[in-house]
Amino acid sequence: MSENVQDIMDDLELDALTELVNIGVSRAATNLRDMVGEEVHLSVPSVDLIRRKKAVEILSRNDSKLVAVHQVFEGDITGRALLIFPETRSLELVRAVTSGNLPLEDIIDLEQEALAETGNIILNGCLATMANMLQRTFKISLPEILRGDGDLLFNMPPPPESGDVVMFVYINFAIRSRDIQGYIAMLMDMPSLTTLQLLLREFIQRTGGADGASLA
Amino acid sequence: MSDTETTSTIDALAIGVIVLDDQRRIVRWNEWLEVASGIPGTAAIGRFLSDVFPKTPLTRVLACMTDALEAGIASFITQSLNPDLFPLKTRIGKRLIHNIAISAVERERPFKHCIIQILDVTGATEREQVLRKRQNARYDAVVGSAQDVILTVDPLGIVQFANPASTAQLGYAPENIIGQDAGFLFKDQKAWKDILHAILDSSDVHLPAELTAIRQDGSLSYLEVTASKWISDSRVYVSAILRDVNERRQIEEALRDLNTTLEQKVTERTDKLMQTEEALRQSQKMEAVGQLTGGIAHDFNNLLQSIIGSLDRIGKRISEGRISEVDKFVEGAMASANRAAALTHRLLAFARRQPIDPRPIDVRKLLGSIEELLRRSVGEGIDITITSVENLWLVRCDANQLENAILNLCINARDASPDGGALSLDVANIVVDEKCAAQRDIAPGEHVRFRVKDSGVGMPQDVIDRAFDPFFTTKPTGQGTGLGLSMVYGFVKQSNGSIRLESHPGHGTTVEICLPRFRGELDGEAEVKVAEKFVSEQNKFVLIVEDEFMVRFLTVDVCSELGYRPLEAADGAAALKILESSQQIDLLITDIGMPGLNGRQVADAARVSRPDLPILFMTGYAETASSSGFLGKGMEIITKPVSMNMLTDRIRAIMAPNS
Amino acid sequence: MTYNILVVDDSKLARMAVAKILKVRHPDWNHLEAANADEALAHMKTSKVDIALLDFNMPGRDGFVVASELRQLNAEMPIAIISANYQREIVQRAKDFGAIFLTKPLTEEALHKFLEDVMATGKVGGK
Repeated sequence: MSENVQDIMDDLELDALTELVNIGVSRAATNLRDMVGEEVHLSVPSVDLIRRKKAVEILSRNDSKLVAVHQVFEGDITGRALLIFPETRSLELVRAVTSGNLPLEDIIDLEQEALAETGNIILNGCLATMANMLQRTFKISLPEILRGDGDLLFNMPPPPESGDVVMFVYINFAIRSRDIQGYIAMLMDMPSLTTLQLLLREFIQRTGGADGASLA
Repeated sequence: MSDTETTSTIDALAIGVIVLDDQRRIVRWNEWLEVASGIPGTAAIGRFLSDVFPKTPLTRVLACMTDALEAGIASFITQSLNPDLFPLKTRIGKRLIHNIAISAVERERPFKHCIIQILDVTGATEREQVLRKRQNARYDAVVGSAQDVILTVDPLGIVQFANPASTAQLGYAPENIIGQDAGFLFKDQKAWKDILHAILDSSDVHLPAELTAIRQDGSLSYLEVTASKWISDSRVYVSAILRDVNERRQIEEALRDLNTTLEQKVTERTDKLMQTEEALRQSQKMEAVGQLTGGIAHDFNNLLQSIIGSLDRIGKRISEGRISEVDKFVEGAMASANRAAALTHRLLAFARRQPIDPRPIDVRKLLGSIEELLRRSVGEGIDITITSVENLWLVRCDANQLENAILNLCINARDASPDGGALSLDVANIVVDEKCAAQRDIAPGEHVRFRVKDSGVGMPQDVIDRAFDPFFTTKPTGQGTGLGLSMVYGFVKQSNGSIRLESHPGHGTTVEICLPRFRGELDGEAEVKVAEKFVSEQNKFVLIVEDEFMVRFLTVDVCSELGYRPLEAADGAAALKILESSQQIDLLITDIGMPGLNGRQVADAARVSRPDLPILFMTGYAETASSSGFLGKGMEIITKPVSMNMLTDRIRAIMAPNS
Repeated sequence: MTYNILVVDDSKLARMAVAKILKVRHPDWNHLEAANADEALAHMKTSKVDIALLDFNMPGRDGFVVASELRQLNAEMPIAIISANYQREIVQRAKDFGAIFLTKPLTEEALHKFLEDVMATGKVGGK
């Protein structure tokens, strides 16, 4: 397997993937907004394909204690999707999505569920959009919360098979003037990655390419 | 499994199950749900959810159903974020708290059915609440009712909890503090953060600490802060108790104010005292004006000699018909008379503070120039050390007066040390602050400080008190003028300076004079006139070294009369120039007391290259004349005021071939 | 009538997608592409732009900022903001800018309806 992750997908495919994630996150923002009752800012500064090791490194750089919402997707593409942010910000996130006036103990009590639901909305936003636009179906599991460091999050035992390549997305939330940075990570095995590539090519053809036009 | 078995299984579940078709109509409604909702299956099947729960907002649920049917997506809706889901009750009639999961039934497209699962979390939620309530009852009683503000912050300093006292103490309702960085409450945010970090790091921090908080209305509140770290569910928190210590602070401040007032009162009284002293001095001075003393008489003697001598010469010239030469004597006499006038001015100035001829002066240089004079004046028994800083600031005052003042102080020191001792003169630059300036009655700022310190007998307090009084003296009659210190005082005050005495019986005296710094430059160096009459004839050359113009002039004249070729020098340095040259010199007449090199030094230097040079010393100081032990071979001494005849005789005598 | 359409989106694919849809009904129109605000402004200065389609979610200056900048150069120009983020606040803001909000992914119908409305109001300059 080539060392250089960039060789796996070309620019246009990555562009297409980024566009899908963007649309997915925007949809999620809309859904969140309905729940929260106030404008939700969700933005995606960047989408990268990196090795698992690199992903662990990036996560460990700033925060060793992380909390993640985890969902599994199965279908033509199989893998894990994680919404990750620093544990120190999780209560902030809960405050942001609740009415904000709850006492500390309530926030702590609600944390698990609130995180799970919020994570579910965001991850579903992405995964559903991808499924939709790639014209495929995934079966997506219910959300589960886990806590740990980067190592733990990216080294969960199979099944399902998690590969070495991670689609790593930086996201910024701002809700009720609370600013929270986090990441979305999708772990896929090689066959899934290849399928994803194919699907992306088809997508590009459908939407942007004129018939017979070369995709450079 | 048969259809009936499937139904029974679903009915046996302890969770609610709704299955809907792709038209969103209910096709299954299990027993658990019948009980919880009070709606029997028959009433639900075939209908829309909105019909079954007309009052419930179902937007979210419906959206998730769409997601499930169209894309097979599983959604999770929780009671934490969605308080009003379905209207359900528990078996004992309580509100049934539940979470909902919505997903598709089929594994792949097309998704014909979606399933809603309802999960009862009442028990779990309640159990937690009960536990917590028990734990917190006591906690709440203390924290809720505490007068002190209690805050809990997370490791980032964001407030997680604030008790009701926040409102009373700081004017902020707890909800307005929660979620903010606690730093905003404090005047010195860094101090708060330092405490927080120290506690998180478990490093040393002195508690209680005192911090100033800013209330909501902007007023300040003084607080004593204690804080500690605690861990719950692997989360770290810091809780801080902020105790109001405003009352204590108020008392402290009142005390401080009282102190300041007291200080002020003391200063005021001291000022009044000083003013009274001043007035007293002034009146005494006025009395003293009418009397003359030996010191002044000496100066006048010199001048009178000049005038009398000049008139004598004028008379002689006129009788000889040499009228044209009369001018210089007239001029000389006038000059001396003017100087006499200046002297009287000085006296008047002493009485009335009139400035006279102030110039920029480098005290260090001035000290250097009178150093010998001082040493001679204090005699061998006193060890003088003169020290000064390198870049001494200039002062502006009358040079003569300053010299006199220094001389006076040294003489006093000598008189106070009959068994000998040490005398130190020190000059330095100082900056006087407001308070010291006020005490000394000078302007604050840069000054030159001149100190004379002796190891003599010292003065008791009553003597110190009267030290500056005119005519007050502790010296036996005839020895002290009594005007010395008062004149020094007058000079110092005129020059906008200050003078202070410090003395203890048996421990010597220190006199400290401060003069304001003069920011300017020295005048051009005084020029030294050297007579240019070098006539190489078979005549005899006399070198006359004398700083007083008229005395020099007259002496030159006498010498000329006697047939000598006069050479003049106004000070020792100029004299040396001539002495070290190859100029023929047959007689040296030199004043002893001169600024810079004195006469004796000139004589010693002269004798190095001219060992047989006859030397005639002139001196105005009676004391020095009597102790003529320094006279060597071929040296004579005469005291001023000296008549021209006397001078003539002595010159002749010393130049006689057999001397 | 042919018009010049400016498409601003940081995603190349998205720009391609719009171009493709545009060609279906208006193959003779010119379309200009820009990947960010600066390129968009550059086009405005060098070419005549009749209509602008702006992606909302761009790094740097977002769609609204670009819209206001374009408006300064051409106050009456029809502008559409395209986004998958159809929160009501954002839709409203588009209106405040005098722009139409279109949902992403852009469908043929949606784009052509927008273009028809634009031509009908005659706001497009024909010089």
